[in-house]
Amino acid sequence: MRPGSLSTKLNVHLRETELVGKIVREFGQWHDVPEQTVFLVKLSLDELVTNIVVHSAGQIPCVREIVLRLTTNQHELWAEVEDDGCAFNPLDLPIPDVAAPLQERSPGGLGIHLVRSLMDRVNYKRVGQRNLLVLSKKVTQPSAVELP
Amino acid sequence: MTLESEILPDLTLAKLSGQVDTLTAAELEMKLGDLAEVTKRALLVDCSDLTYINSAGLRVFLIVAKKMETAGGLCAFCSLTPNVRLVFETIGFDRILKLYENRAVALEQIAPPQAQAA
Repeated sequence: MRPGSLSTKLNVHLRETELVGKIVREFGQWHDVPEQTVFLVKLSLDELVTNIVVHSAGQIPCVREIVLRLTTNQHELWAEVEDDGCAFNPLDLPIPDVAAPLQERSPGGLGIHLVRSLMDRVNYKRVGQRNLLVLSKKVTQPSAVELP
Repeated sequence: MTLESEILPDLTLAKLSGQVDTLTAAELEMKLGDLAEVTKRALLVDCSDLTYINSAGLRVFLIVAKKMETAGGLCAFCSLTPNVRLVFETIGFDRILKLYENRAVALEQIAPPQAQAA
């Protein structure tokens, strides 16, 4: 991959998840990120931003801004999602029982489970008055752009 | 997201295309739910042109499949792209939902003409 980074602010609205998808796809194109990594990172960020927006609705104070950062080096991609809402660690949400039979499967909790499972690392930190989630995904597929 | 359907004697075929996300999942739930209502035996969702799905869409699949199973029917999925298949496997949907490699295999398994005649 081509090393680089991008930082942008998102409004606190579900419509912004569409923009997140577009940003990840375009960042992926510029930085020669493999197609599957783009898909998985887009999905993970979609789930996390959706969670922040949905949880913000019941919070006082509510989230006013979400900051998204993407960084690549040759072998790894990092994504950060930061918001200024109340302390909320989505990793504390219960893990769904993915081995349960159909009739016992609950439709909740799938999003965070996907993020945890599809990324190599997911960390949550409360930094001052902000929530910070950091994801990373290693890329083994050789890059088309070989840097010296 | 688009959902095109075809109601055949032995099964209902639904071709799902595009992106299913938080914004389109409600529409999918309504359309797929309506198809499940009119389907007697089996509902086959062809995912060959499904380019993206998040947990909101997966939740709809789970709800519809449960509803079909409770009513004595079947909700099956075919032609998943590698990315969508990976997502299904990650949340164990490959174990609880009926998946077929492609539409031909699915039709042969779900509605074989000879089995119907027998």
